[in-house]
Amino acid sequence: MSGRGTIFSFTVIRRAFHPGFAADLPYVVALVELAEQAGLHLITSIVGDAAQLRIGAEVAVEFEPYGDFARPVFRPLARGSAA
Amino acid sequence: MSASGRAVAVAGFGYSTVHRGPSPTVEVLTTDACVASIADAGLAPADIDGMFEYQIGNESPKCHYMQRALRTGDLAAYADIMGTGASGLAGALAAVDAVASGACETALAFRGMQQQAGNTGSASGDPLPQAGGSPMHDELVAPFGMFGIIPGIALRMQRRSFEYGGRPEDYGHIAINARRWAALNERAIQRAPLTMEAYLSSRMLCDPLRLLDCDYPVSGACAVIVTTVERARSLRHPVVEVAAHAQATGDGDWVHGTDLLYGGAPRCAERLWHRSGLTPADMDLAQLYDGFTYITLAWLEALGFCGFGEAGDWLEDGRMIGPGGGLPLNTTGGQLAEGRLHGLSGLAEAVCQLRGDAGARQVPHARHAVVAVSAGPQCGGMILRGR
Repeated sequence: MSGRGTIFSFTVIRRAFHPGFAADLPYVVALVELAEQAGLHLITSIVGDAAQLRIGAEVAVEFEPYGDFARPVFRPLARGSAA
Repeated sequence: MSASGRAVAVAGFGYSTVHRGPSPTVEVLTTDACVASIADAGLAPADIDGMFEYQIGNESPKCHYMQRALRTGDLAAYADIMGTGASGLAGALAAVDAVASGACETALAFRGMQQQAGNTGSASGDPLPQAGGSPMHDELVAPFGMFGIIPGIALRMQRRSFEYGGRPEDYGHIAINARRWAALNERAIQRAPLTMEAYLSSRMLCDPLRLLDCDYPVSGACAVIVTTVERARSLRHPVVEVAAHAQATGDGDWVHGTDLLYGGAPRCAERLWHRSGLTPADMDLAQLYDGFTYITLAWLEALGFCGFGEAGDWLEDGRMIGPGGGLPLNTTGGQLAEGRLHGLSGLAEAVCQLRGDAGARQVPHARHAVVAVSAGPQCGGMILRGR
């Protein structure tokens, strides 16, 4: 898989729905549609420049260390770099 | 013409008292609502031979408890429906099927609620639901800090804005409307008027979802009595017939699915109109689930009261859905203002209105009503016909 996708939707969580995430507030939860298949959506987070947080933005996966494991999160591609 | 089988009516309804804060136990409240519904129909517990209820999972009394509490005798048809289902309407939908098929003659359907954060509009200081759930949730969703349904609704609102535009005020009109009707309903908990300014300044929980987009958790219960039209004609109230009932799921759940905005709602609506032979223009009022303001807008569009994405303009700044409007909507104040009774109250109120018993909030000359509960992957609805 390419690790590429687009932001299908997103929200900024401002209230802890689980105490384990209280220290992370506010944080982004997003649905990313993977490049390989329309309708194939992943719940994930978006990292990087908040100004690029918009539906339709092209993103690429990164594996972010988180506690004892790593999470697949996505970072918006700089415009023009999505070759 | 309600699918096939015998014609079915809703012959009674009942509520417990509704509480915010300290309350009797959910067992007491649910029993109170069931007793009230049986009395409202002019029946005795021994007349009940069917029983159906919905709960999310082990938080309220089940059929065996209520059978003993009411001393109904043997049940010819019964089920506790949990998890997947049309929320508070699920028991009533099953009751209609059971009576229509001849599996039983007179069924009780109920929903008991104990104030908690639960799975819906849990934006207060109430206890949070336990984390975790399915392996899929634990591995693919929970690591990103997504719990419960509020973030999922926020994802829908953001996507709706992208696809159709619209304004925050579109949701605000649903919240304000709930308070306008609640002011006419003595059972309602949130009866003070709400201004658009107060709505817009309410706390942002998950952009663009605000605190006042969420329902109001309460303790309380609601129950209805379902029987044949033939039997209902000999009872004490004008007959309110189930003209159609339907369910749908779409292809997703609360997180995933190809139709994030509407899920099964358009299919549920198609089935309701097809089976009833009626149209949106025939409806005199609507009780459309408002666990979140978003859900009500989605139902208005899925049912065809307006086009997809057009509810904001169609509301006419709320005039369309308020007292005296073209489509009086959620005339008890609904989950947002009467309190979160999980949708069965929408059916009870439709029956109340079609009997002409709604007092200060009565919709004049009401003959047809549509009820729709839950949303997305758990859709259910009914069309009711009065005199």
